[in-house]
Amino acid sequence: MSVIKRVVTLLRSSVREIGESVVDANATRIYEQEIVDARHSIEAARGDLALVMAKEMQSAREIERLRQEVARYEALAVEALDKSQEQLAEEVAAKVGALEQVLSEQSEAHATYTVQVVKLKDLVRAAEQRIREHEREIAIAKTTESVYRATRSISENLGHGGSNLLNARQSLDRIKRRHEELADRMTAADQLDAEFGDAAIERKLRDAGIGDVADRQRAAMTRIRERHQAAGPVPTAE
Amino acid sequence: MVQVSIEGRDELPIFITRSDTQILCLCYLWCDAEVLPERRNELAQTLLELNPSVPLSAFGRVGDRYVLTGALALDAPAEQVAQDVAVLSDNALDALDALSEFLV
Repeated sequence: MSVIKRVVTLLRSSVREIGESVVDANATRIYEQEIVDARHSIEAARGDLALVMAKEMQSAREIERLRQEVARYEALAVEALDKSQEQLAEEVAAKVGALEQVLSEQSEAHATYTVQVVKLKDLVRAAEQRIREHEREIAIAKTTESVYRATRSISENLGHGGSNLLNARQSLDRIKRRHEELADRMTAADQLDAEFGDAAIERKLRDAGIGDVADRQRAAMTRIRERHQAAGPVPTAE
Repeated sequence: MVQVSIEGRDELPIFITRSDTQILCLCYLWCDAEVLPERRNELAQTLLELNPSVPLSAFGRVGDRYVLTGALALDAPAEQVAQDVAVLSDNALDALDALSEFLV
């Protein structure tokens, strides 16, 4: 049975037991052992795989070499026939036959290596999959257990310390009220600053036409008036 | 287990615990007794629908309590744990505010 299924079953029966028993200690040990075994078999399979792949490459090279030899000897046999050297051509043909025998053996070996490579890769994949499965199952089990253990210890602590656990609505109201208080305090601080702080003095100066801002405005207006007068009574387009 | 209180939100502490596989942050929202009985199913439905949208946290139930949880890898750096705690607290407060209509 999968761990999630087991958790669902436990949830339906007795929640109290969950803290200890999603997966009993024995089952966890079995999973952990299986993970160790799967890791070992992956290691072994990887070693074998490297060896077989090396052999596969070797045999591919050998096949290529043999094919070239066959072609070369066949060409030589044709040349011998061209020169009416029947006997020699026969001997070369025998050599070609022998080479083809070796070639066919090599090809068989090569095919076997290829099959082995596929099998070993499948084996590694399957073992890795098994490890992932078991690790996930152990993770679900242990997480469920730790959540329930945490909740139990929190409940016990709160129980001992009297009921200082507010209900959700009370908590929310308190937090909100605190936020409002903070917002009110900040608004009040802004207002105080507006009335008595630096900002207030700056504003009063500006209103009285004193200071940087007032000067800039006056200077700009003077400039505009001067341009207006320089342009004369009837403005012309430039 | 570690209890973290965020200033101004002492009523909503975050509990941090770890198992062999992950660090888990938990915030307890409310318990069964606080849910309006006639709206219980509707609340469950809403929580499920809300779940994918809540950033980095998930709604859940532990025993008779509704919780918001966030999980981190065991080797998560402290800043990440702190960020998860902060997000969890924001989410919990939002959730309380948004779902208080289901509570007594």
